[in-house]
Amino acid sequence: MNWLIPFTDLSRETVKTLGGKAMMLARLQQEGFMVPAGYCLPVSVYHDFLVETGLDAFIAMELQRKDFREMRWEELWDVSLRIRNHFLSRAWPKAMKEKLIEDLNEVPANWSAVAVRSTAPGEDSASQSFAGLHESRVMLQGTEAILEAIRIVWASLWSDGALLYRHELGLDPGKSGMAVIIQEMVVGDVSGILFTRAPQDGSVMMAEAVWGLNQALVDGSIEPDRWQFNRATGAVTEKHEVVHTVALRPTTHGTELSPLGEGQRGQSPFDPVLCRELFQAGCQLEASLGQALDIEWTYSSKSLHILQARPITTSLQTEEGDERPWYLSLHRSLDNLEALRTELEQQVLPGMDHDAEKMSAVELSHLSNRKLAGEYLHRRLILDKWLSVYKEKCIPMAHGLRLFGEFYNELLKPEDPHEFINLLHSDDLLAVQRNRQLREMAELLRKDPRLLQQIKDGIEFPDGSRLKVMLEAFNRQYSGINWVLHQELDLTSWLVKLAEQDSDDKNEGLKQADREQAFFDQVPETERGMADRILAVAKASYLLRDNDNLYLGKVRAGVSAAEQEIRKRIDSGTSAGLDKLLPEAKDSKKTFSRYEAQQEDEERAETWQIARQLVGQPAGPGLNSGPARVLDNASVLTDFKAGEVLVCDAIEPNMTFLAPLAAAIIERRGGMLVHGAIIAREYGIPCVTGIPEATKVIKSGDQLTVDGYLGIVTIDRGEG
Amino acid sequence: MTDEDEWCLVLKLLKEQAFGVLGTNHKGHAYASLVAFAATADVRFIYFATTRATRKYLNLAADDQVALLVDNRADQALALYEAAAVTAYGTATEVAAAEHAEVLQSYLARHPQLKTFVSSPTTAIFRIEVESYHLVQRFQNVTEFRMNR
Repeated sequence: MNWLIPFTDLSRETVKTLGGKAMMLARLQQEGFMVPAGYCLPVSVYHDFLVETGLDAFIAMELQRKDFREMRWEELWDVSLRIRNHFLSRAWPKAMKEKLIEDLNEVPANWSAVAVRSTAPGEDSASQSFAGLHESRVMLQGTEAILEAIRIVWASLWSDGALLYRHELGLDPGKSGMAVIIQEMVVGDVSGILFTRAPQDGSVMMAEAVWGLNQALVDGSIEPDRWQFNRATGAVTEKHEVVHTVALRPTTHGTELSPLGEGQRGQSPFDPVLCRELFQAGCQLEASLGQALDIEWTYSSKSLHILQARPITTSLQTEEGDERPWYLSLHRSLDNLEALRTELEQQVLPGMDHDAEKMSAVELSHLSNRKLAGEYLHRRLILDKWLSVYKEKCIPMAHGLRLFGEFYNELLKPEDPHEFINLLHSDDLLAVQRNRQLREMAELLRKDPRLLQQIKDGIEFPDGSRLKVMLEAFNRQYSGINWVLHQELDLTSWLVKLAEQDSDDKNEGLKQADREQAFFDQVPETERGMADRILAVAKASYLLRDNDNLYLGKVRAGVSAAEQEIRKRIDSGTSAGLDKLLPEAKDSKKTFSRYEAQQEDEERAETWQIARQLVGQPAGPGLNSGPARVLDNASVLTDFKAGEVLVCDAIEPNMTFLAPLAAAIIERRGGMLVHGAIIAREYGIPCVTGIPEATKVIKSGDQLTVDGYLGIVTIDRGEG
Repeated sequence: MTDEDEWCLVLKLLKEQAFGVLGTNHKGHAYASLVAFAATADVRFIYFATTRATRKYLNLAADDQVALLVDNRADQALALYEAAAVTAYGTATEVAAAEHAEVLQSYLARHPQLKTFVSSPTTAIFRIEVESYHLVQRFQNVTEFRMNR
């Protein structure tokens, strides 16, 4: 029996075996609508693949590592990335592959290309609609490409978006499954979406259209024209038009954005005939199915084709404060990210810098109380503005890393799903430059055993010696980190520690240029242009992820400076009119939290429940031991000593200087791409992230062993 | 039930069960841990893995005598009569790096999902050389199988 079920035979099957999308398309086809012909590969084949490859156990393990309620979005993406990589790197079971290849012979030879789409049970049920959580692949040619796409679509059952909505989707590793649609590719001249009732105003019908294929509209890389129609007459009631310059077009190896020709550039994809057809199709579809629909369509050779349709009447209702839709909006197309990068580099960061410079030019101590109050409030407004820009522009830029990660893994199928990060190392990262200088100094010390012994004996570096000069230059260069200057001994002892370690360049690995070359050597000729662009965006994303925080930090520093000036005046009794500006100044918040922490410590000492081993995410490979230094708040930073294990909420960019001195890093915040993880990998320091209870159950001084390969932290409190 | 049947039951338990309870000793105190194991075809050797920071690793470093309980119980009262349990007694030694690849192949065939775990440089693979098996069935029937006889 052929596994592929033609659309014409789907009525015998159920939503549970084929998913809502396939059933809907089959129904539309049977009711006479133009639907590209296709087949459905039922959920059972997905389950067979899981069992035969042992993937079911892997997925269960990934999903049970940690309570999802405690996971940040970054961690969800990591889980999803790892599961996706399991799917991609797993060879097809031989018998399954042979059977599928044989069954795919059914696909008519005259189809120029096919699209492979998801159709998951529960995905588009009558009660819920989850557009965009699962992947599709278009313009596929040849059996191998289809087989590859099937695995990608299966893997997208566990996309980060799907994991976010796992409760609503009923995602259960034992029960969930994914069917796949294999459909004739219809290359449209114009494509778009039709809402038979507009999401914002159910009294009108609304359509969006772009030139070329639909994927560019769906993934947000091309902005569409948006027209509204009167639901009774079809008359156009409102037009939102944009200037069209590009379209997504098929190529020999997939799709690409290409400039519009003369006849289309600047023209709306809508014309009166298309509008009429859309309106009529919308009315007919709604009447046939008895509910309002969200329809993807394409217009080819003067015919309207329905690519998919899903109910919208009860589409997902989001509650106030639910940030999941915002998170989903972070998935950006390459073009979108390239534009964002330009904006960040040319406008946003210089803007932050400009405002911070203006703040630092103001001599706060010269201002009257009234003017200081005004200046402070003004600065708060500026900070609020940049915080909102940060959320709107800077955070989405981080998606560049993800885009590259997915591209890299799909192409190279590496054992380690985070291998791609090795290509993003940047010499422009301040932390990297600092680390290199430390290593150079340690290397010099290593080569001079006599000097090394002297330093260990407590004798200072000789005046004028090369190392002394380097050390002084090091301190000068990073003078912003003034507490390090107060602890020069720590830096020296860290140098001694570095010097006594074997000269270990393993973490350096290949030189950056060699790594890149090795990557491009494996990219097929046709994909190199795309690879080049994605890598450039990812590198920018990696760098901006640190730099944007540093710029924002400068603006924050301006606000803090004004706060400090106000506090100073409050303390000296000259604060008339300023007292109410800083309510927290009177609360002495820090003292309170320290008191609380102390109390907690005492309670903990008496408790019978002792954490012995904690599991988080392996974010930086390596194994090391050392006493814990728990950073409850900034004021204890100065207690940190070289060789201690740093335990904190999150390593903020302005704290990354701590990393070279740490034996290991443990972060409550999870994710492979959080700052702590990036810095730890740069330094080759074991790092475990995503242990929410870390700062509570670990006490400063606890002897820790940090296994950065497996994400395990062992706490040794002796036998007591 | 013949001796052969009982030996078959030992083989069946070792083949079908994925987990066992490992007993180690620390200065006279017993310590038990759940481990994923894989036995060789002739059941003379049993492999399991642990990270080096664990208590059982420290215990094994100090005392290599171990017991491993493998059973098929269901969590119900009736299970007492229906369940069978076999305990392997023997000596555990850490597998040398040179032998890892060979051992991992058979271990991972049994536990493919543990690939990342056992491939970590921080994980140690142990081999129990089994001296005897004690099979318990129908509540109190105990049979001993001595591997060196």
